[in-house]
Amino acid sequence: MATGTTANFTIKRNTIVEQALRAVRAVKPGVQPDFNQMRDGVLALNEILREEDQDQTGQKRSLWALSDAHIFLAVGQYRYTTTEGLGSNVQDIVSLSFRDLGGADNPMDYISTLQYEALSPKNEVGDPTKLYLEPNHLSLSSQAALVWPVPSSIGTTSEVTGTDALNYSCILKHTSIALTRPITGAAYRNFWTQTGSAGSTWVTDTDYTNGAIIRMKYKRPLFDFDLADDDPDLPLGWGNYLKWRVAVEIGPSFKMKPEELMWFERQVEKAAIKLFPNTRAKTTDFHNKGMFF
Amino acid sequence: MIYSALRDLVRTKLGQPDLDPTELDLFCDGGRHELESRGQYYFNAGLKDHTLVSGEGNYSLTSTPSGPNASAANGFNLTSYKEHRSLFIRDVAGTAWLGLPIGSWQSGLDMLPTTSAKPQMAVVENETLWFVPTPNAAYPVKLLHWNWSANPAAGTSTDEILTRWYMALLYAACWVGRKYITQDPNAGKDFEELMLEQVELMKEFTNRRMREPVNKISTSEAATILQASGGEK
Repeated sequence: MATGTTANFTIKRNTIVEQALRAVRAVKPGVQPDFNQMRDGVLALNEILREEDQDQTGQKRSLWALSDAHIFLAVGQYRYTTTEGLGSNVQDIVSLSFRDLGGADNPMDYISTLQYEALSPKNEVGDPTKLYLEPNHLSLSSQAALVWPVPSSIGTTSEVTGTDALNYSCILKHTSIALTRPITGAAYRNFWTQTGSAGSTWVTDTDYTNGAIIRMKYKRPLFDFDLADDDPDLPLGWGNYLKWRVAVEIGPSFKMKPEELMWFERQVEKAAIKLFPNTRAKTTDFHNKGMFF
Repeated sequence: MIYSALRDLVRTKLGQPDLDPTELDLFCDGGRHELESRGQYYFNAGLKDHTLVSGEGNYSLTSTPSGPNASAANGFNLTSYKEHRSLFIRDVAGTAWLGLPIGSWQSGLDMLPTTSAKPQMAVVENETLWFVPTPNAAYPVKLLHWNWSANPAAGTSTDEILTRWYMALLYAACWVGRKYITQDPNAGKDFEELMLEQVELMKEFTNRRMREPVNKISTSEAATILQASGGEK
């Protein structure tokens, strides 16, 4: 194996659970665990993943799980759903901007319920400056974005057919060249997004226009461990953390002693410190950590 | 040792020179069964490479035809199948084997999809091996298993037990024979103890030779065996 290049080591769902089962001495070395033993571990691992998913929002959001979306605005419409381009899995908004008809981006504020309620009138007309996401954590695809204000003119969104026969809508006005053609042009993602219903044939040297849109960067939920060979939706290095957490969860089922479980919990803490080194002091001198972190 | 020599020794040891040959075979077969029902031994180990059939979830372990709901000849055909050791699966074009845990229906049926997909679990039900969910492609699988062995058909033949562990089989056959002749469940305790001593030797040797602690030994012993082999710590 070459050193200094990207690691090719991967860890699978069943490997993590199997390691945890060995840690709690449920499986002897050299013996394959059966599914009766793995079941609790698989369930625990998915619970842990969902906990991490909830935890990794706000300032702690996982930067590897970001997605983007474009909401296509309509005159007089203040509430937008997945039909207009809102992502179906928006868990936590990272950034927002309003792209005007000239293609310029204008930062927007992501506001809370109270802040939205304080806005008046709700049907203000103008360039959007604020967005409130109606939360629905039971069904992320049922959420809605409330935009304030809404422009009186939204322009025209060009729509073409990509070389993959799907429809693409323009998100940035431009004059087409081969480089911008969906999906063979190297730069097409800057100008088109895959949505729409009635695309015309793409033609080079044509002026395509974007309508009024809101660009959104958001954190999506982490992917479940559905299959035995699913990789964690977490970067390399999280394997030990997950293994020890599963061991803590399933330990009582395998008659681990309280002191052994405490030792596992210590391993979880140590693994977490390795993952997030900024949670510990960077010097051995005595000082008030609260002043620095 | 050839099989007929063992039969002569059993007859002599039991002090029954006029034993019917059928009874003698019964003692030897019963003795072998007593040995193999008490543990797994290296000479019982087997490995079967097989390819699953898309849309077919159940496979006969012991015969050629597939399970009860299928007629195609896709069974594992392991006529002496005793018990599984472990099972592996890989993607059709994949290069890495992944362990496929064997479990009970209760443990996995409520967690797994009903649509065809890459199997996540296997269930052994009588002589049928089920793959759940039903495979959606021709996945290669590797079944490591244990077989029952049998005494040779010919008196002049031999096998691993008769060659290396003949005392175990002799004591086992005598124990079975003594109980049979006396119709006393407590008879032949001396033979039983001698047999059990041999069984422990066979188990220990199997664990050491195969680096696979399949027989009942403590976890620390298993770890010692594996560490000695440079294997898993």
